[in-house]
Amino acid sequence: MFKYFKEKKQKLLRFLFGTFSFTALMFAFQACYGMPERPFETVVQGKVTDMETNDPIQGLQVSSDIGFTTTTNEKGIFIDPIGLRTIYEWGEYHITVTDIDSTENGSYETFDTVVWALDFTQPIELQVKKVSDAQ
Amino acid sequence: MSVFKRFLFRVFRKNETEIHELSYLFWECTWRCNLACRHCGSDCKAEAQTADMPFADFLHALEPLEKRYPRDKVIIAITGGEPLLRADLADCGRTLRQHGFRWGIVTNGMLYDEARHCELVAASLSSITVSLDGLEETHNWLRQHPQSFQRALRALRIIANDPHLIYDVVTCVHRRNLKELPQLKELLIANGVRHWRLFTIAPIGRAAGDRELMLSRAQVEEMLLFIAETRKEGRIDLKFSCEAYTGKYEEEVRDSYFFCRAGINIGSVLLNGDISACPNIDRSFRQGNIYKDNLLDVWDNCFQEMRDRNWMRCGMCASCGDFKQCLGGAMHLRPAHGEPIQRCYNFRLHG
Repeated sequence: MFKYFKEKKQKLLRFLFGTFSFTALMFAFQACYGMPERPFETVVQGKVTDMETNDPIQGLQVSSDIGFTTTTNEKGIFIDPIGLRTIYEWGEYHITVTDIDSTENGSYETFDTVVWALDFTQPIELQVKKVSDAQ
Repeated sequence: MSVFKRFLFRVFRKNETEIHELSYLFWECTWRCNLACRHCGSDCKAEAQTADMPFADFLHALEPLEKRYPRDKVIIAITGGEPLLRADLADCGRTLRQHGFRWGIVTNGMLYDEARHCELVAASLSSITVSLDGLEETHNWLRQHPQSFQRALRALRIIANDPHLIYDVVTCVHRRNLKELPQLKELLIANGVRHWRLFTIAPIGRAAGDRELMLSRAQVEEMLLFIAETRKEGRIDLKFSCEAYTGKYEEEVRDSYFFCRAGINIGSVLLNGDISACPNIDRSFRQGNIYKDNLLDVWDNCFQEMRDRNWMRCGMCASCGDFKQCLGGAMHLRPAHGEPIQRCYNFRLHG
């Protein structure tokens, strides 16, 4: 319980001090003989569209090894349910789009892609391919 | 506003100290180095008497951290000596990544070419610092190697052009390169470098007795003014390192106030297994050893002399009105527990 309140207080203080210092990266630091690190906070979000028609697709499952699974809404938009999260700028993450509602909104192939951490600062555009009739 | 910000900062720092999350861990993997610089924080040797630490030993010490902290929370700063001398560096990094740690290196750039860059990035290298200590003649003089400047320049060109890396260039400012800083700035900008950090040479290691490397009071002020002016220009992200409290310059020379996080967020595993904070801190501050102690137990239960710094109120700090703001300065400038600080820029500038 003590730890919980300390962590909440830590977030609040970082926010307050960051706001008044006009720097959002207050909690980033580096040792004087070390290399830099710059974790940043963002809300991971994006849009899934049909590769051929560019139409948004509802009901697809979007998951990432950054730690979330969610589904797209009627505008094809997905938002990380965690909300604001800290991301450490180190390299790549996987995003997988899976059609979980069968043929309700069309049938789409599972799509897997790699994005760099910094890409999460912008909405991610993903395009998926319809399962062909032959399949 | 400034008074309120400083107050808020002190509350923030107190809370960070109470929580003391270990988020930045140095690994001094070797004492071998391919240079013999006039200055070195680690006082390493070309032919070190002590063997490199086996990676398996370090990885074993990390096990409790892996269980405690979420993936990505801790970054491992691989340092030396020169870490690129380890042939297994990429393998070490890849394994660290697989265990959920981010990692980076601090290098002189001598061995950093395209092939090594690709190998390390493929092993999830996330952050890197390259040293560049002046224009060609001055850099080579300090590094005591005729090709060191060109090699460092090659390294930073590669790094600055990779959008996936966090990096910076560090420059040790001393009497010979102080006047070169404006030219060095242009050189860095021309080569695509966006992040630059200056520090002065501490009177420790093999630089301790070299007066040619230490700045005078007027020169320190000149350097700080250069940083402040460059930051206003906005052409390159320049900052003064966390090595010292600078009094009235605090808000002009870096993004935040001076905060020595040694033992608060920064720990280290030294070559012989000793557990400490930054590797340049006097070795008498060691808190344990990975070959005898659990790293996390030591982190949780030791380091009190770095988390409660009231003992630092001695020497020139004893009557200083800024003590509550700087808390006695940087740990690496204390030769031992109870000893006064070796150098204070605030005192030299305003004292």
